Amino acid sequence: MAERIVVALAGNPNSGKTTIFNNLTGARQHVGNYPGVTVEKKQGVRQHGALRMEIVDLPGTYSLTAYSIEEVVARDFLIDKRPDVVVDVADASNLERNLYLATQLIELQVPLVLALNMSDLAARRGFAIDAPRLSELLGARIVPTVGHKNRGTAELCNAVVARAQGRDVPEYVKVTYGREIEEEIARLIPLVEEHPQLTGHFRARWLAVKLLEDDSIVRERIERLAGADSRLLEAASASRRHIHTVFGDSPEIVIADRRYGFISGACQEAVVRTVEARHSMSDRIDAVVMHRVLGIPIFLLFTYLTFQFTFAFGAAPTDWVEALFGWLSEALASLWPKASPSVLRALLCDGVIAGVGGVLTFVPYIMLLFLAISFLEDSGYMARAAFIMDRLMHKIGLHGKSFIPMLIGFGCSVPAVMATRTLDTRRDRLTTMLVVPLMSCSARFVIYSVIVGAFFADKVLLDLGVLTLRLQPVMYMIIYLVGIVLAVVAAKLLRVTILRGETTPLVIELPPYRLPTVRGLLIHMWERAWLYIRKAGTVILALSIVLWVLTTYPRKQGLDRAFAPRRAAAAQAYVDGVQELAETLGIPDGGHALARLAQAEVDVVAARDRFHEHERGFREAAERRDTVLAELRKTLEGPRIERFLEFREAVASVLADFDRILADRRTVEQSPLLVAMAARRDQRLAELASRDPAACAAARAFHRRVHPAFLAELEAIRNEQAAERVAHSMAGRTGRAIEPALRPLGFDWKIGTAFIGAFVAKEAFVAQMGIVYAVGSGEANRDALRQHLRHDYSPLTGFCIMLFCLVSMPCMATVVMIRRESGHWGWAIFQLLGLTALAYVLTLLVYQLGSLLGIGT
Amino acid sequence: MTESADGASGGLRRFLCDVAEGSSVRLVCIDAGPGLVARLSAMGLVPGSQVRVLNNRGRGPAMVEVLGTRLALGRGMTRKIIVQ
Repeated sequence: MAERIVVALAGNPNSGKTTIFNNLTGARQHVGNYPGVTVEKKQGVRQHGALRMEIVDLPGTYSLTAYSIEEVVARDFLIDKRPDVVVDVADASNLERNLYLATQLIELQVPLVLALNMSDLAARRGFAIDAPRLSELLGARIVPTVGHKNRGTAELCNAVVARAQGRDVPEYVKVTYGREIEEEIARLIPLVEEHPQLTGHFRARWLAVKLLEDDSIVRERIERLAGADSRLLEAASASRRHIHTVFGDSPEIVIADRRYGFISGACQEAVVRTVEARHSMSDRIDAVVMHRVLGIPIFLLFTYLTFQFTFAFGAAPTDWVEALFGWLSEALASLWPKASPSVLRALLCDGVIAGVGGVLTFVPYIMLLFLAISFLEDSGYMARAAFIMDRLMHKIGLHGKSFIPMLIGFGCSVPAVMATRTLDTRRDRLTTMLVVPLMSCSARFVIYSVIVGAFFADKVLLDLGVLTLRLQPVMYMIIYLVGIVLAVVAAKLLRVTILRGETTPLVIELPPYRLPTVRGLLIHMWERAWLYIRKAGTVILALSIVLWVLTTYPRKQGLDRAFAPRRAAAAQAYVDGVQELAETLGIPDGGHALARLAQAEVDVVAARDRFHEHERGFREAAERRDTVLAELRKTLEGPRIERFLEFREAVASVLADFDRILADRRTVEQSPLLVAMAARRDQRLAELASRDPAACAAARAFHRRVHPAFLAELEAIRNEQAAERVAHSMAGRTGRAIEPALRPLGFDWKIGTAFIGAFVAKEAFVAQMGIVYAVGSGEANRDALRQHLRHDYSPLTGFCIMLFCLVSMPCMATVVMIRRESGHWGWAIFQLLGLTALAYVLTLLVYQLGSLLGIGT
Repeated sequence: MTESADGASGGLRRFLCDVAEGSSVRLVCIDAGPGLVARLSAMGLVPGSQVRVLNNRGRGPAMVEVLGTRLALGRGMTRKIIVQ
C-alpha cells in the first residue's frame, strides 16, 4: 500500500473549492507558482492515518480548453502529473453548469470523485439528489459536502483514499456526442492509436474529441510527438468540415451542446427539483446594489468604509510595531559600548532595523486592508462591483476587474500589483500594473500631510452653513484626483501604443451572496500579507543597507570636536541657570552649592550620551553626582537643596502626566478630558505651592526655563550634527550634484537627497527631510519641519513636491513586484523610467507655468 | 435542444442587448472567436439554452441568468449574442 497519494482539486470558481481545500489541509498549505507562468499553485498536506495526502488546489476553471492559461495549467497537471485522485468540487445548487467541467474530467479518464458542495443549500432549495444513481450515471463516486460548515470532509477523504486504492470504482461511463460525432471519433481513434508516443501519454478518445474541437495545444503536441505524419491532422480537419456541414455550426459548439445534453439527461434521472429560485435573497440585495442610480454611490460608500476600517483599527497595532522596532534597535545597540564606532552596529541599527522596520510597520494596515477586501470578494460583492465599474473602466481601455487592484493601490502598490492576477489577459494585467502606482498609496499620504500642513493653512474656502469647504482637504483631493486622471490618461496611452488590442469582453459569474468563513478570510489575508512581508525581508533589506551606506559615508570627521564649544556653552548655561535659582529658593548664599550640583548633573547627562547605563563610564559619573549630593546635604544649605530636589521631582511628575495626555495624538483639542487634566495639573501645582512656596517657585522656574533650554540646545546640536553628516555623505553630495537639474522644478539639493531615500520607502522622504533640516526624523518633529519648509520654499514648490512624489517614485518593493508579476525586468524598468520622466516633465511645466503666472510663489 | 424544422420558435432573431428586462429568450448563436465561444459555452451559453434577461442597460453591461447561473456580460458582449 502506498504511503503517499497526490490528490488534485478541480472545480468552478465560486464552487467552494477553496473552502474544501482549507478544510482538508488546515494551515498546512503553501502557495507558489507553476513553473514558467504566473499562475498560483496551491498545495497542502493532510495526514490520513498512515497515508500522506498531498493535495493540489488547481486553478478554478469552468472547463479545460486551451484558451486560458489557468485551464491549460490545470489540464497539463492532470495529464503530466497523473494525480492518484481528482476531486471535482461542484456546487450542488447549480449542478448542471458545474458538471460541464466534470464531463471533461470524465473524458480525460482521471480517477474521479465528485464532491457535491453546498449540499445544504441545494437541499434547502428543494433539490433532491439521488447520489448513488448520479454516481452510476457519471461513473464517479459522489460525496455530499458542506464546505463552509466543514461537513463531509471525512467522508470525502475516505472516498478519495478508497478510489486511490482501487476500491469501489464505479464503472466507466462514456460521454457520448450523438451519432454523427461518434462516427468521426471512431474514424480518428485508430489513427491516434498508430502513434504509441501519443497513446502512452493521452487517452485516444480524449485526443480525438480535442482534435474535433480544434484544440491548439493538442494539435501542437501531436505535431511535436508524431512528427511529420499529417494524416491524423488532415483527417481531423476533414471530420471538422463534415460536422460543420451537417450541423451548420462549428464542432466545438455542437460538442458543448451535447455535453449539456448528457448532463441534462443525467440530472433528469437523478435530481428532483422543486421550483425555487436559487437567488431570492441575492436578488433583493442586487436590486439595491446594482441599481442604476444607487450602484456607484453604494460602491463608493463601501470603498470609504474599507479605508475607514483599515485606518481605525490599524493605528494602534502600527504603534506597537514601531515601538517594537524601536526597542529592538536600542537593545541591539546596547550590546556595544555606546561610543563604539562599530560599523556593524550602525549597519544593523540605523540601516537594517530602521529601513526594514519602517516598512514592516505597515503590516497591520496591509493585513486589515486585505481582510476587508477578502471579505468583499468572498461575499460575492466584488463581482458586482467589477460589473458596475466596467463601463467606466472600459472608457479608459481597462477591464472592469481592473478596478480592484486600483482600489488596493490606494493602500499600497505592492499588494495592488499582486492583485492584477485576477485579470484574464496579460495585456490587461500589464496595463493595470503599470498604472497602479499613480494611485496615491498610504505612504505618499505621509508626505502629503507634511506638505499640506506646511503650506496650505486650513483656510475656509467656502462656507455654506451646512457644508464648509476647507483648503486642506481640497488640496488632498486635488492631488488624489490628479493621480487618478494621470492613471486614466496613461492607461489610454498605453492601450493605444504599446499594449494595443481589444479589451477582453467582460463575462463574470455573479455568485449568490454568502457570508464568508472566518477561516477562509484569514487564510486569504495571510497569503497576501506574507508576500508583502517577504518582499520587505528581502528587497528592502538589501536596499536599506545601500541607503544607509549612501547616507553615512563618507563620514565627516571631527564633528564632535567642532560642536564641543557649543556643548560647553550649553552646559555652562545650565549651571548658571540653576545657580540663579538660589535666590528664589531662599538661600541667597547657596549659589555655589547649587552650581556644584548642576555641574555634576551636566556631567551625568554628558556621560549618558557617551555610555550606556550599564557601562562603567556612566556609573562613575553617577557615583560622582551622588557623592556631591551627599556632601551638599551635610552643609548649611543642605535641607533647602533637598527640598528643591524633592519639589523638582514632584513638579516634573505633574507636568509629565499632563504632557502624556497632550502627546497622545488621538486627544482632540479642547476636549473635556484635556480641560479636566489641565485643571487637575493646576490644582496639584497649587497644592505644592501652598506647602513650600519658595521651593515650588524654584522648581517651576527650573522646569520652565532652565531645563527645557538645556535639552533643546542638546537636541539642536544632535540634529545639526546629523544634518552635517548627511550633507557630507554620498547621498548629500548626489543631491547637490543633481541640484542644477532640480532647480527648474523649484527643488534644491535637500529635496534631492530626500528623494533618494524615498526610493526605498516613501516615508523615508519625510525622515530624510527631517534629518537634512536638522529637526530630527521623528513624528514629534513634524511641526518643526513644516516651519522650516514654509520658510525655505513657496507653496508652489510644495505642490510640486507632492506632484513629483505622486507620479514618480514607485517604491522599490513595487518595482520588484512588477518584475515578478510581469516576468522580466523590462517592464519594471520601463515603468520606473517612464514615471520618473513623466514626473520630471510635469513638475517642470507646473513649476515654470506657476512661476510665470505668479501662482503660489 | 433542437430547433423545430421550420426554424420558428417564437419571435425574431435579435441581439441580446435589444432584449427587454425580464424576458426569456433562447440562444441561437454567438458571433465571436473560438476562445470566447468556448468560455461562454462553459458558463452555460450554448445554442438552445434558455436565457433570462435580468438587467439590461442597452449597449452597456447586462445581467442574465442561464442554467441557474447569474452572469454579468459586458458591453460589446451583448451585441455578439444572437437570441430568439
